[in-house]
Amino acid sequence: MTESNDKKTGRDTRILEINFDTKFPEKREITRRTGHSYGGHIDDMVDNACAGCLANCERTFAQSTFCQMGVATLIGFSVKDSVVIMHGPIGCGSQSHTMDFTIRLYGAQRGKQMSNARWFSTNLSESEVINGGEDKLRRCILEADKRFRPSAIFVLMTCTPSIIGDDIDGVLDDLRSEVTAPLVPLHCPGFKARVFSSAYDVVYHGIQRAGFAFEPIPYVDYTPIDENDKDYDLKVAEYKYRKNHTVNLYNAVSIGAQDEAEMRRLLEAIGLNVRFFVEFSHPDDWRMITEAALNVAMCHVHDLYFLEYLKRRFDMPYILPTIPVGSSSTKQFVMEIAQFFGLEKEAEAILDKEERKLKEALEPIKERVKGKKVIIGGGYMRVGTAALLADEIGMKVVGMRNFNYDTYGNALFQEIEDKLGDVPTAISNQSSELVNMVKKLEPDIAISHPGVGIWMNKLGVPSIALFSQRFTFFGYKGAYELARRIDRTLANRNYSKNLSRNIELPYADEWYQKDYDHYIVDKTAEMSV
Amino acid sequence: MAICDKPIERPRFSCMLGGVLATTGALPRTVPIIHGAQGCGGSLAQGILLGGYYGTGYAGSGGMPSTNISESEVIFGGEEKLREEIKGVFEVMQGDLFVVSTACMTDIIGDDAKAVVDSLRPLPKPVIFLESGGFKGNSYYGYGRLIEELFLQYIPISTKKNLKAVNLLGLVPAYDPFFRGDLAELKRILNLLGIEVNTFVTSDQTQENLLKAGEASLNIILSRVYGVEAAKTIKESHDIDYLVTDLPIGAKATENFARLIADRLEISKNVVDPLLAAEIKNYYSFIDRATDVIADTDFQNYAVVVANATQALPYARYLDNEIGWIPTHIFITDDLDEDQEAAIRSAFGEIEFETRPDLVFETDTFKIQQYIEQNTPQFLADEYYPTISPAFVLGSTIERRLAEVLKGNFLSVSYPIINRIIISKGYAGFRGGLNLLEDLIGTQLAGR
Repeated sequence: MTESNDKKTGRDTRILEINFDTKFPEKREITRRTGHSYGGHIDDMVDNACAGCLANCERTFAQSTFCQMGVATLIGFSVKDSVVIMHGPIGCGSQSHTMDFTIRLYGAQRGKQMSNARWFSTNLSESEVINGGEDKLRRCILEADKRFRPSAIFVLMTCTPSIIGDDIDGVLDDLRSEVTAPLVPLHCPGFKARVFSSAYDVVYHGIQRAGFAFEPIPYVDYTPIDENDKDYDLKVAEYKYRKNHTVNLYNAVSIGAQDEAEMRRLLEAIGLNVRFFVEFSHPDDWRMITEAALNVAMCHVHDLYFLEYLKRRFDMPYILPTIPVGSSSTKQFVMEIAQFFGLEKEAEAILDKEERKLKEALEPIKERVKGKKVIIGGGYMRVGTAALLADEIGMKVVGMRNFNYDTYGNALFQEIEDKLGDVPTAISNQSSELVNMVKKLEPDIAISHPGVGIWMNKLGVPSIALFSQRFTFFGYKGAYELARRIDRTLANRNYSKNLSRNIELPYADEWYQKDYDHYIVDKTAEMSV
Repeated sequence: MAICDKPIERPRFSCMLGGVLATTGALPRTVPIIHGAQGCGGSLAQGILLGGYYGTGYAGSGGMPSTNISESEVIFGGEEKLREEIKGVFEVMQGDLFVVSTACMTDIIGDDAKAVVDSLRPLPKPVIFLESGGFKGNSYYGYGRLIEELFLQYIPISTKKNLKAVNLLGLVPAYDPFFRGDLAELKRILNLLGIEVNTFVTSDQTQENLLKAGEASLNIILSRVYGVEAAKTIKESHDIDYLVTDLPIGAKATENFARLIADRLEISKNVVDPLLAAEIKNYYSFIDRATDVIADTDFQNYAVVVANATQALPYARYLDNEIGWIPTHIFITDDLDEDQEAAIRSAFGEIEFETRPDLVFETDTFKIQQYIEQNTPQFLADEYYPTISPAFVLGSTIERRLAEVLKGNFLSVSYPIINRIIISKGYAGFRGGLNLLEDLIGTQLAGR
């Protein structure tokens, strides 16, 4: 992979400080200096990320948002036939009922018959807050194992037990000999990380510690080739060829079956075998992970931690190309993989043809959406690549709102700066800041993370999903589909117009007089004291 | 609050804070201020959405101010953070009422949030305070406590009672997914009888309704268990009598309900009789025309009702008393203490069923299906056996699976509901009874 992550200096400025041997991983504010509060423009944001000081910003007025505990449930549920246990009071994870249709429907689209979303709350009450909740957790794990015989039990440590000092690793260690399912400890108390995508590191850390195998077992998963076989050399060569042309792509709950199909199509076309991990697969399937030449994150915000682990433990190389949304990012994604396998020529031939076809298809859409103003908000990889796509179809990106940001986005955001200029950019998941920003930027349309669209619509701005398993986003097909969705949405804005004329926002007039980053303060000075 | 001491599989309710936030968000122009971790509000808002996509509203979800305490507050205390937050709230947000609600973390570390709020007074708008750490109880308990605190801290005491004014309480926003439609219909009926009604949580309400709630002469609690404790407290504090009854669904139940209230408020039979007669006549004119398809297709079903303690019995009663179905099982999925369970058993005893269903208290989804499988002959290998067939399951969206096992039909009526959106529809009252019949029969026609 290219090491010149920073185009200005030509150096790799990415920060990653992780230790796989600890009980639980550090939050991303520490391991990647990920920022969660910022207001300004791309150039300044990228510089501050390099300096590692974005993570020092805090808010003196804040609104509720996601936590790492909620995010940590996502991988757990999408592991085939798992059970998830929320070790905490009854409210933690009570939003999880939606995961039932998510995993069943989106599993089915991948040809996987998933069980219902099965989960427990240990239902900690006042007495456990005083006496400890370990016993209740023990009973819950035993019951979950007996009731469902799951493929894995993910145990989520929420805020309350982490404060009262429950030793969930101790409980899990004690129970391992009594239960059938592998037990996965997830240390994800919400208050411990401002950056909720820390949850992905927590989950992969737990998976690493739970004793799952990532290598095939002889006579279970394969029959070793007999050295006395007359075709031994040929069979070994065949095996090696296959493995050396196999690439693992890592999915996420934000990535749909159609996205996977599109990337499979493009990579198979250049002669690779393509496989997807870890979601929507059974832990037994994970034993085949190491039977590939390369690991590729489709969204490295999600998977970097695990790929780094596989590299250190099994010497498996990985690359973090970009997220393949829009034609330039798709090209970059496929080309980086092709480079690794020495298939650049094959890739170029196919991509050129695909790009020509897409360009032609986008022409009539471009005519209609040209110059329309768009604001994009959510995870920074999606935001950045969607901005490039919006630019590709002639729209004007008036603002970007990254929920979090760190140096792993610098290559992408420098590309955006080169192509689009120094666009106003926030690091924010705060709706008050959003409303303030949108009022000033007056976009025609928004592309938003779930939970954001409601505020856009209240402001009279129609909003489409930044990601959704219902639609295609990746590759050439995804670029066309996303452009079409933008075109369709702009064709009739009556819903949001009507709504905005008839509802009242909960914000005071004085708030709109201030800058949206008014309550963001840099605590660097305080921290160095 | 006493809650049963066991883990719960797929719980159909949330924590105390979840109930407080759902209710606060339903009050007119009211803004919650959460003193807790950043995910409390965000996650609980997603839970609140599961009441038939009961959305963000005025200042819900990401609009809720929250102190978002982190490790340093857990170690050093979060009172300063709360002080800063409240100051910010009055610079950024607008509203008529603000509710400071604590979460698990801040209750455990012992922040004195009340002292912080009091030290900031006078504040530009009314602010009430509630300790609502999630471990203290479930969302229903949170609802009751918030109603209590609204009266204790905000609603003026009035010695002059309006003999024709009532407060309708007991339905919990989101966790009783049809609360808006249900309350609107019951309010319509009581208005017909000349009674003024405060619901607090329907869209027609303003702060005026809250502020004059102390003048009401009766609190009507539409649940045998939720809101009852609050009603007792309010009797003490505001001298408002209370009446605990069931959510009325369908013509008979609604007529009884209306007469009960009319008697209590001493409204003359001469006023009540013609009004109710007209309502019932209207109701049956609709039932009349629905009967062709019902009769020709034999749409009577055995029914399984899976719902919370407020709704389960009223739905079962409707099925038996109003439309002549045969409820076989009633599952109550709440985490009830002994007194609450006794109250439900007693209410169950008062209902005249043609065939008495099995009343089961079970919080765990898996065990509901297991109970039916292990106690029903249709799963035995015999040539002739009585089955629960044709079967109809009224439950949460989770019960679709149970309906599949019973090879029956399914309608989602209880939390969580994610397979349909609920906007203004209700199942209570006369209109609600018709809505429910429409959906019960409509479900069986959907494949045509």
